[in-house]
Amino acid sequence: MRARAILRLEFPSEKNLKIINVALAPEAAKPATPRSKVHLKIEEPFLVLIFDAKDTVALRAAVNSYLRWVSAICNTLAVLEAIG
Amino acid sequence: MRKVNKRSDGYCLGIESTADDFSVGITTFEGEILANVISAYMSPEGGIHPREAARHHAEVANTVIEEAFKKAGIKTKDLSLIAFSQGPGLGPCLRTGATVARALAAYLHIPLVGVNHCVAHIEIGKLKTGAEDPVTLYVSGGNTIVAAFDSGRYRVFGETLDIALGNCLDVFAREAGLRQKTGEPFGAVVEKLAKSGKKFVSLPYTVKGMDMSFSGLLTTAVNMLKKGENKLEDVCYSLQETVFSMVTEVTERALAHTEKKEVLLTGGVAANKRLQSMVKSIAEEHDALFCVVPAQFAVDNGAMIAWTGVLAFTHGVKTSIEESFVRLRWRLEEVEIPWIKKANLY
Repeated sequence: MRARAILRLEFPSEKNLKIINVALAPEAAKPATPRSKVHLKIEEPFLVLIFDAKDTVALRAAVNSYLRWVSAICNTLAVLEAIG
Repeated sequence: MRKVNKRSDGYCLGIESTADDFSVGITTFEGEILANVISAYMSPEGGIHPREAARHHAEVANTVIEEAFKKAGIKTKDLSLIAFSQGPGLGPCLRTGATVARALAAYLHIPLVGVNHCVAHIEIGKLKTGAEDPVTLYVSGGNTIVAAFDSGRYRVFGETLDIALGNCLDVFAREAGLRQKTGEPFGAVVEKLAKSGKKFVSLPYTVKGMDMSFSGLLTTAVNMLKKGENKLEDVCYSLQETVFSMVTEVTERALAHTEKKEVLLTGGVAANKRLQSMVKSIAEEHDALFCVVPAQFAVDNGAMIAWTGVLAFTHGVKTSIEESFVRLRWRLEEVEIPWIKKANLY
């Protein structure tokens, strides 16, 4: 059963939106597994992630990975802004 | 993009995330290490689960980076370069470090450089010991390699055919039901027990040409323990003597062949005193200087990535964010080393 999910994520600034898109792009270009692929696009103010997977297990794994990376980047950018 | 002075006034932040450690190091372009913060993923049981380790890395990335900046006493605008471990390693772990590194480079508008993890272990060893052109024995939980520089690259003279030496010790320790303190590697637990061992029991000694195999002797050692015919201390002692003799033999052969005048011991297992004494003895027999990386830089660490990033960048190596794909099986000898070709001076 093929599976698809679309996530629309809004970030605190346009700069962060673009940085996250750039940081994730290589992972989307070269997926870790043939079982899922991800397409990224910017629809301001949202980053849209479109997941296509061969099954729901692969879909969940891909969504989890990307959300984890997004979270790590957001937290890191917040730290950088605080450090100055 | 901010202009970088390549020999001074620069700081490089390096991210290491090939396996169970997430680490951030900050170095100057002259090789001074200002920060080296390590957060280790501890598996509740068994070995490293790549996805769980990656989850750990994602969770701690911001706090480790923050602590590294605090220790270094610098601001984000002081950074000139971001380096990251591009491979070899565990896919989910590498990808987490890479995405954070890309975000840092994009946020700060500074260059990015992908670093080979094995090269970084050699370079930090050279930096911290002063070795210039050694035969290197690199032994850790993920790699067992005997290498030396020749014709623009580190050449692999011998390596494991199956599991790494550190992995062999780790699995044995788990199978033996040994416990480790937080932050203590299993190898150190085995080392302590081995010191009390008195009886040597024979284990398979597998050196094939210049390569080694550890899986058979691991199975034998575990089975020997389960049968209860030998004391745990004696098996630990015999295991160490056997595996360390194997890597020392291959290192000695590489030393005899290359006629280099230094032997460098690096990687997590380099902290083992018995291994140090064995490698030192063969170095002395060949009139070579024995060098061992300090314990804090023997384990996977961000400082080694930062320093190797500096070496690469100042010799023309850069990685565009678009091409910064992780390389899970990036072999040591695939990496060109332009900084040695140029007069062997940093």
